[in-house]
Amino acid sequence: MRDRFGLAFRLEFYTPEELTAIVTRSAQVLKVNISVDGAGEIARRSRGTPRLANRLLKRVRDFAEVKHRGIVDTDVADSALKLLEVDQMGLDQMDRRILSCIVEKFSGGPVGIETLSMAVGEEAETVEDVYEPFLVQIGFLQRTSSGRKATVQAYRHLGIAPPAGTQGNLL
Amino acid sequence: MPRPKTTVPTPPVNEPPEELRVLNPEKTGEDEEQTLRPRYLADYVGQTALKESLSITLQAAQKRKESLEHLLLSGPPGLGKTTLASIIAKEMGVNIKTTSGPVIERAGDLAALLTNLQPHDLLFIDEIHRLPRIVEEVLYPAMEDFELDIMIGKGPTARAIRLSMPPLPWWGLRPGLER
Repeated sequence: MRDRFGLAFRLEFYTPEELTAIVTRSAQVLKVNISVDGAGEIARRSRGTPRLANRLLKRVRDFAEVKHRGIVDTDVADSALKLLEVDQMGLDQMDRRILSCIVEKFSGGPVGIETLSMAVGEEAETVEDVYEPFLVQIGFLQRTSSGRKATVQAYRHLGIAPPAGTQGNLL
Repeated sequence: MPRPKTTVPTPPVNEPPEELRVLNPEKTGEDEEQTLRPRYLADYVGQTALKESLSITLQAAQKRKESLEHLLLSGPPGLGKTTLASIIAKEMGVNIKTTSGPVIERAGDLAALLTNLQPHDLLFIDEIHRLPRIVEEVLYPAMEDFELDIMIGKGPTARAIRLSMPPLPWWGLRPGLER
């Protein structure tokens, strides 16, 4: 299919700086009073995706309008995103549940996708298509032939000590 | 006991005023989303390398007064593929017709779409990876030779016909096909 097209472009994930500019621009369009740091806070938690950044901006705007007279700074953005359960890495509740499930229930994996999805109460397909790609991308999750494994970075993010004998001990 | 048939005159239906309607044909849920999308390449933030080569391609095509070549945009969801498609149309000053891969079920659907294009129109096929295989096979000759093979009718009376796409004006017809 690809060579039928004279031109092919691939879009890459955006850097936090680019996303900050995007959030700032969107805030102007939506007439949201936002500080540079506030925009940066939203940008850092948007997984490199403008669509997500704009969505988070709208939710933060709601929060700011109800609780803080519409002004968005770092603190307001931070508390709004906390309320949405979006953490520093941009992981949401389900992402964290998947990781902690692997770590706590299956001792870090490997665990099969069927078992894992049953444990977190989500369709296997959804886990595979929606949640896993980003987790794999940031190196929190490994897809191996024997199942899913949590990486040392995932342990650190969850604030759990990685098991002995993993790379964590070498560092 | 059978009831006598009576015709009750139906009262004239009062249309609710425009602003009370749940569905307003003029307004779509995407309106706010639309305003967040940059309209010109200059307003587009990020994708620096892509933007630069796209800008060169666009300028070259405009200089030669040609349509753009077929263009494939790929990447994870939410990164701006649709936005770029509408920017390209805007920068080239052409109309954009938007459709989606899974919507085109049969080769006939594609034929209808393609033959309704005006010269220079840009056809944007979202989710092109979900285009049915059979339709994909029909799309290729359309992209390469601007000809369309379709079957009309069924059984012994079926005929294969080859449709030529609308005649070329002095600019050359090239619907840009994109994901």
